[in-house]
Amino acid sequence: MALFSRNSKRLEAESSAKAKASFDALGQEALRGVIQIADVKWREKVRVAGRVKALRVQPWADQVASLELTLADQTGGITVVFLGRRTLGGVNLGTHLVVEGMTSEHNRLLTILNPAYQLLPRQVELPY
Amino acid sequence: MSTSARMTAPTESQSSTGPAPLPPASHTNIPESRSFRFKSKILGRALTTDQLEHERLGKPTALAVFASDALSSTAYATEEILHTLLVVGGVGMLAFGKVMPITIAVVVVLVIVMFSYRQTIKAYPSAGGAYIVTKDNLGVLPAQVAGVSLLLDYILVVAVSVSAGTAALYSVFSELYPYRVPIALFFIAVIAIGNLRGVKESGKVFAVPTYAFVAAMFIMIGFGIYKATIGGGLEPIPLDQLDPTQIHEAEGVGLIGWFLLLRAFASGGAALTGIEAVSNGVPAFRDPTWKNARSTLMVMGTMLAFMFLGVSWLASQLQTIPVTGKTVIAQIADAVYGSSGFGQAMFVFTQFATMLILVLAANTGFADFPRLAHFQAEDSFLPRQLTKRGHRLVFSNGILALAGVAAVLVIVLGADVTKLIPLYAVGVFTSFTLSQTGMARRHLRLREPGWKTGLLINGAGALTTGIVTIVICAAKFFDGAWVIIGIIPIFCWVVVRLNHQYEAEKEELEEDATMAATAPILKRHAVIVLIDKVDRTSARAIQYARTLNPDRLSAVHIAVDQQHAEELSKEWSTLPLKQISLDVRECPDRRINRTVLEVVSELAADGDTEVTVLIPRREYRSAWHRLLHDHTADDIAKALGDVPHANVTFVPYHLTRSTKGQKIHKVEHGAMSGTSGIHH
Repeated sequence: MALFSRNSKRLEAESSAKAKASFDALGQEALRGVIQIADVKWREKVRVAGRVKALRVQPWADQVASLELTLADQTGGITVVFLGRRTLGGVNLGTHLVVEGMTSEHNRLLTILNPAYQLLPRQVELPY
Repeated sequence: MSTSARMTAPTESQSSTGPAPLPPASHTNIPESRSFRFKSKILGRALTTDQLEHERLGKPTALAVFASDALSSTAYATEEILHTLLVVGGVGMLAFGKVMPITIAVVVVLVIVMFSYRQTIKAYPSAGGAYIVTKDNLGVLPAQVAGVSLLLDYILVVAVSVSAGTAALYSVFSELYPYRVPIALFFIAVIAIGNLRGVKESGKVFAVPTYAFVAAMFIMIGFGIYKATIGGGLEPIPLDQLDPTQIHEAEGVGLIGWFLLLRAFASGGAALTGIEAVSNGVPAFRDPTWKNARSTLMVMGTMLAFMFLGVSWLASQLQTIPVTGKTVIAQIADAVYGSSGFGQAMFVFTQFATMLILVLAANTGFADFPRLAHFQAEDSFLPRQLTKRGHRLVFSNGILALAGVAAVLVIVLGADVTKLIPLYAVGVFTSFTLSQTGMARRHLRLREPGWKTGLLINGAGALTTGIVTIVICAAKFFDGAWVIIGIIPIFCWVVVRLNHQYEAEKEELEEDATMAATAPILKRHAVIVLIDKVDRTSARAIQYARTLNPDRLSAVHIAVDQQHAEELSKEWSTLPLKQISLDVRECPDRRINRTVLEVVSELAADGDTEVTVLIPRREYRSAWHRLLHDHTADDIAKALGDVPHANVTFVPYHLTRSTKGQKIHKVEHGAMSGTSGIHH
């Protein structure tokens, strides 16, 4: 009986190491040029990474709404607004995102409107 | 930031720099409550939900994790058989001839149950505890019987294991015997805190004691066999080494009746507890989960059978007599290893291994009870609190409940395994019977390939465990099983009652939710502020009330004391707030709640007004201060709960250092601590 077999354990460790390496490469690419949220200023083009801390749908009319989310890293938080949509595939509470766009003001909060965004795998560590 | 922008709009700095990023969560200046800080100190940092780990176990580790409960019962099962025969039955030396047949009977039941559970594991690869299996096949109500029986048994697992672990300890250090209850309670506390912290079911913690115990038992049995065959035969422990009570028991000449044998068998049945642990935890195995779980179950059952047989055989050869202060295992180890230095070392090793595995077995109870309670609570058969994951992601309330009840049991029964055993096993066999019957039903219903064999196995399992349940109930009824037999139906009635309550609530709340959401809103909004004194608290509440822009705003004072009311009115007119009307209400019977209710009913009488009652409330940081003040505010809020369109908002004001004679300073507070409407 193969009760004390270690083979499967080793295989598992190997495959997870491989996965980690590829995630690291992916993360390095996505996180290039990312600054910490505390340093973000009004009316600047920025690239930040963080964790989705809050999600809200702001309805405007029957069919029109915008998706607002709060993206936070260790240093602070920023509002990200996607106009004209209620959901964003793959974006949920706790999702790690990299967003890039122009900062502006929305409801008296520092906001990036319709940024370019990229989902990060959980395994990638956020820089800040 | 440009200087010109600042110059054009010097007053609005925001227009030049724009808004700043939100502060990080760690900077939000909300002080943590004292209880949270205490909890963090004792239990460690709070875990976030995504840290919930689903560790997959390999077979050797899984065996260690799941087997401790089952294997550990060999430490007391033989002893309990002997105890029933010798102490209760008083049959003297005749007993030793009956130990093996009874053990073999128990092992036969064990094998049947084991093969039955093989079927369950395959059919329910995602957690197939008796509760789930019964719910799936026999319905929700029988499942409650299974669940309740198992819950009771997990409580007993903890009590019995901890008591037996303590017994293993005082068998080595006999001077500890008087302190057995505190020691047992200490074990419960340690295990409970460990589980609240979240003991990872990681192999290392479990593997060492489990395998040490298995090794200790097999070495002991091997040594015994060696001595009995090549080593010159095993001599019974001579009578002159015994104390008077033992001699008395050894000289008993009682007759062995069928009923006594059944009672002894029922006591030995305790050995089967814990066998269901593997089927509860199938998802924790590595892929292919059910195959690994099955082979682990077989290895565990085989080990258990051989250890139990071996210990019983040694006990019958050595003619050990159960006695307070030294367990049968200890007597056997003592006799087998002799008094040489090596023998003594092996004796101590055996005892410590036994103690550790018993403590671990208690830990199994702590792993299973909260999980089962969580399943039952999710089906609304137990209080909702049991579904909550606590500080460290474990089901804290379940753990605390279990620790509390087990501690009470240990105290009441004096950490005495023999007194606990009759309570034990009834629940396990009830749930065995139900889950095996459920499996048999499933085979009949689904008719999957090979269903006939499955039906045969589970049918036999259901029949055997059913008979054993009846035997145990009958045989142990007067020894204490009546407690459990009585509690199970009561407990079941309570959970069913609880379920009706939850279901009724749910029905009312979900009924016409969409209609309620689209119903026309009331046109008017009246706000009243309850005022008792003119002070910061009331001033703050009035200010808040003004931000609500109500159609009607008034301050209301309930005049319990005429004189005080007059003084208040006078003082009110001197305040800058005097443009708000102060409505003084008489309250001759001093029932403040009632009077507030009247005021609110009057305001809402037109059927077109939403009434908000603002209650200024001082918030006290320390429990001492809270004690000094009554809870009028909360009582009023509760009373208003019955009035439609009445809503209560507390306006908090934090008192901080008022006692130390320092200037009271206002603490930054939110607009309101909470709004409580009627239907929430």
